[in-house]
Amino acid sequence: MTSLTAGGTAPKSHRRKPNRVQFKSDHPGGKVKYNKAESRWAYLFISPFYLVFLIFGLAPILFSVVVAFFNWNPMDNSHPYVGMQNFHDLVADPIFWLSVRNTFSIWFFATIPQMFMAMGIASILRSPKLRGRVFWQSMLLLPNITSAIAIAVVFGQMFGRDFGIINILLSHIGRGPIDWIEGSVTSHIAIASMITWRWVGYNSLIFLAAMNAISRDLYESADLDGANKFQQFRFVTLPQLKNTITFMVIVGTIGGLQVFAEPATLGGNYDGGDSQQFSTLTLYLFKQVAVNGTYGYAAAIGIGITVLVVIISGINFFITRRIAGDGSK
Amino acid sequence: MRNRKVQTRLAVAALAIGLAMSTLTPAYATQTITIWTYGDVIDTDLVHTYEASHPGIRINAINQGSPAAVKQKFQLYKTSKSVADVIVYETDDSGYFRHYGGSLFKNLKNYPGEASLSQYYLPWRWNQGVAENGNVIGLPTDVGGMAVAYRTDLFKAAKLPTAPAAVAAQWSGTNNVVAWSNFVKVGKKFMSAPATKNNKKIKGFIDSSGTIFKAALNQGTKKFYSGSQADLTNSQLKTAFTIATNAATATPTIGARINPYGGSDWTPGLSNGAFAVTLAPAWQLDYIIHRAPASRGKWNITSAPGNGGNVGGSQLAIPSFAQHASQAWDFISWYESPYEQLQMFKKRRLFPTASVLYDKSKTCVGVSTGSGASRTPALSASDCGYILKFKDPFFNNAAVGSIYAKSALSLYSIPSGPLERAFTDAYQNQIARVEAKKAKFTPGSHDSKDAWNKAVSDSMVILRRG
Repeated sequence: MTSLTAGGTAPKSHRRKPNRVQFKSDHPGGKVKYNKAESRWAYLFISPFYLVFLIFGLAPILFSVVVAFFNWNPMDNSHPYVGMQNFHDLVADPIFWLSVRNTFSIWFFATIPQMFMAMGIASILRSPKLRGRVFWQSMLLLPNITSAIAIAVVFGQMFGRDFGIINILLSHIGRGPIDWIEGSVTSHIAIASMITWRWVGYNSLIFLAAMNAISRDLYESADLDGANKFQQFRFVTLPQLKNTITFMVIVGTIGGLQVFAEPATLGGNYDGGDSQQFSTLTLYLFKQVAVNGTYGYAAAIGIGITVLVVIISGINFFITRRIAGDGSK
Repeated sequence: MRNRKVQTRLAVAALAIGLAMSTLTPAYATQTITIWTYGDVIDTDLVHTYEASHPGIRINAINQGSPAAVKQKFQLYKTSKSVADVIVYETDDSGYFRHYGGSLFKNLKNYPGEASLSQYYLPWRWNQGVAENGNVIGLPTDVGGMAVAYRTDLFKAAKLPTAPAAVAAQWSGTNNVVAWSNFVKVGKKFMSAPATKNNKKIKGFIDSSGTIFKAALNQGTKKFYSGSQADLTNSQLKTAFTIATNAATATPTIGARINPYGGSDWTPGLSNGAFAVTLAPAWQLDYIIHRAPASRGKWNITSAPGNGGNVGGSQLAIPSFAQHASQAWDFISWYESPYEQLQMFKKRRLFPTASVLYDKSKTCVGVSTGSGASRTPALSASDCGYILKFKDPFFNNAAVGSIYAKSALSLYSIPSGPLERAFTDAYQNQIARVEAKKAKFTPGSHDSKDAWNKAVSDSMVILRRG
């Protein structure tokens, strides 16, 4: 977080200290001197974001906190106060915790394999032997600009039990048909594959950019020391990609907590399967709103998600700081 | 100096644009009727017909994706000027809108011509648009009805009768429970036939035995409510649940567990003969025709077990804060007029709720509704006989018209309430779990994980939070 603002306001310090890793704050004290007119302009320039956030971000968030204390009915304006009831329910709600588990399971299946795939694709794209590089690079972004629902519809067909192409392929190697939607892990894999398809190209390009930024000198030195290609990857490329990997995990976590269109399309409703085996947090929240009409409980789920995000952000922050610390020493 | 020049230029440009716009605007202002809809309830061709005869009116139907999405958007905008002029709600939500909608929608009784309309429609479908306070809030679109579409080729191979009357006779019964259990027996017979066992493509007798629940439930006089009170353990509900779970646990298994409403295997299953039977509302016939054109001639249609049935159908309602309410009324009363509903049946097999077209106790010839440009042509004798005489060439000339007419006319007005959709989901999920062998149903069991107990307790939780 700090690196973005610090890097943006004080580009000169970067030039003086070229070895500093970007992720770390460049101003330990956090103070840069401006004259008064300059700082007034600064407030003006950053104000649009904060104004819009105040109206469309913060206000609804605070309002939803209020709603969580009521059995809120948007249709007849009867809003009986129920105190902590919704939160008590939430903690004791097995489907909420199941949705938490599902969300993380899907996140895991979507993020980890994707990282390796993206790294592999990026390495291939860097290869000097590759022709038409720009073409391949732009093709990679195509799934990313396709709507999640369209992808979910197509993948839903592919994962069909009786007529899905994946089961047909499996049958050729003698494996029985898998009822992808019915199973817990299998449905997570199906959903994760949709997410992977959509984002792997994007992440490959990020890796590619990060790899291209690694100084050639490092590889030359490694060469001189007699390191083979794999060792070069392991001891030169990989450490240099640490920040990129962290970035991806963070962005992946944010996206992972919001998975909605894929399970909704796959199941055809907001249940996430007959046993909620692929119900995600946002899907469960939306079910409360759109089907059950229990806005108060939905708000409580929303706060539950927020708490989870804070915890995960904390963990992320901790890990990020450690990695950044390693890099500079 | 420079700034002033730019300013002058901008002013001139703005003036020019303003002038151009005012000269382009026609003498009458175009009024846009915005509709929040889902699926293909609003037919583009019919909209074009209306627009052509009503210059200055434009219909903007925005597909929100699902009934739930329309409902949710309405909840957000119901008291603002941004609300649509017309919203489409599905019959599964009719309890919800009847309960809360009394003051949130225009009372259609206040609009010209409403008084003479209701007599032309199925009473139970009309009532799904009458709020609890007596206001008329929505006009009925089509009625799903319920019939059995079956594959004659697969029936023949399994040595089952193939003529519609003979097929239906196999699952006739003195009451609904007997009728459905006879239906399951036919399913078992089909599954044990050698030809079926040898046919690797067949995954089951019926696409999803879970669909039997809704069909059986709609045949009664009670679902989840007694009067306006939720009644989650009533005997009719339990009967429907038992009928469905009996079908779901039959040996040999008769259900293919292919969900006809959104399952990815259903469309290929239609063409490939993965199942021999589907419980088909009328609107689904159009799906079969268009998604499995190669199966033409292989299907036939006959009456469903028990007395009729229904899945689907919608209501068109005008929110209180609609900007063009009177224009919207003109459009929806034209769009759902008996004459135009007949056109929709001819085009898309959507079965009319205007029962005047097939209920022989009603006078049909000469019926005409609306006024001015929206006045519909008087129904002729051939219009009035069309549906009851209609035989569908795609389905082996099945008497589709009379089968669905009988089905639609045999249903009752059922008390409904705001949480009907949520309750339906809860019970339906447990039946699906039984079908997938993830749960069991033992009548009288006290185990909280027992399918019935779980459906009841899940529904109770929703009820408490609502």
